[in-house]
Amino acid sequence: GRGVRRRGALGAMTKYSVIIPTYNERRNIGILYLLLREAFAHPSLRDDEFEIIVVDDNSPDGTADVVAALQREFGDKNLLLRPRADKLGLGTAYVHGLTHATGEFVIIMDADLSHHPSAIPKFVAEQRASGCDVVTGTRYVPGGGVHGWDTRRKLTSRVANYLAHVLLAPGVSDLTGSFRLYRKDAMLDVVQRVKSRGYVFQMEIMVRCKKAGLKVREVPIAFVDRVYGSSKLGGAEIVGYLKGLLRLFMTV
Amino acid sequence: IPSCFTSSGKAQDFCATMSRLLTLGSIVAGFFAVWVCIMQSGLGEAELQAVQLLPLWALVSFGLYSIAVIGWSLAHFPTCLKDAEILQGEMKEAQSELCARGVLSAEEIE
Repeated sequence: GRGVRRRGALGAMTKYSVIIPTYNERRNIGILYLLLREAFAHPSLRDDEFEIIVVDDNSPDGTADVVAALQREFGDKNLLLRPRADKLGLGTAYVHGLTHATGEFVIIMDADLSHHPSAIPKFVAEQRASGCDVVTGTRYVPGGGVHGWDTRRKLTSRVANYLAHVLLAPGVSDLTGSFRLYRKDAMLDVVQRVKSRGYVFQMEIMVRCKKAGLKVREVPIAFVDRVYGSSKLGGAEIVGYLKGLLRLFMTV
Repeated sequence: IPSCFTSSGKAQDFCATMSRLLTLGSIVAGFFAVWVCIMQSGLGEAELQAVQLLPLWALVSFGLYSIAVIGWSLAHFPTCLKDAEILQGEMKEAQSELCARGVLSAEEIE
């Protein structure tokens, strides 16, 4: 099987590509960029190279302009903007980012600051220690956590999770999480078979990774939800989740 | 016995391609087959009635177990107030830096 990656005598460098889909994240993308730079400066990542790929779906608020301003101001050749013409969905945004990624590993994360870049060194450390193919951030175990959810939202999450465990036995505690590290080739291979959209995409890709025999490890992460108040979990989303869950149950 | 439990390579490959529905479905079907066999074997009236109720009892038990697990996990939902507070501070710092560097204009800061 895959052995644990050993650093060569000369400190073999590993390149990581961080893929960030954005839509109307003008206010957050700059902050996220600064936090990412801080994370990449972590001592354990000294010998590694990071590139950031922002996949912007033609945000009307000018997110792409902010990224361009960051590129100019910081002269960062590893900050890449790979826009798309329209709001085409999360799954295809990841695929788009993947086709431009030149790293050996890719890290996917959200642009709204619910995911904190300080977890990236932990993902990398876990991958190095275990030689695994996927590291997934989990909000639902001690050490991780969620801020900004009321009891109703927490209950919805627990019921949804329980159903997913019974029906899919996914082997991970957070199936819909979107803060993950993947070995790029493995993700490219699996993502071709994924047909879902939205957060069901995250579920399907995890289930398919497991089915393909990939080694998956979990790292607790903190999730700070600042948008829950304005974007409530509606009936349509719940129905979509159940439909997606049932489809995965029957087909994977 | 479902082929999943044998160690033959071919059987494992077949299992690996089976959907979760088929896997669970065949296990449930297996239990039902055993149940039907017991029902049809020569048993006394009282035992037969007890066996008849087994599936219902199993379902109710599963339901109660589920409620208990969900309730417990809800009560022990991990939170991260500290991280939220740290993020607030980091956001303010980052915003001033971005403003100073001309990436964001002053009126964009919340």
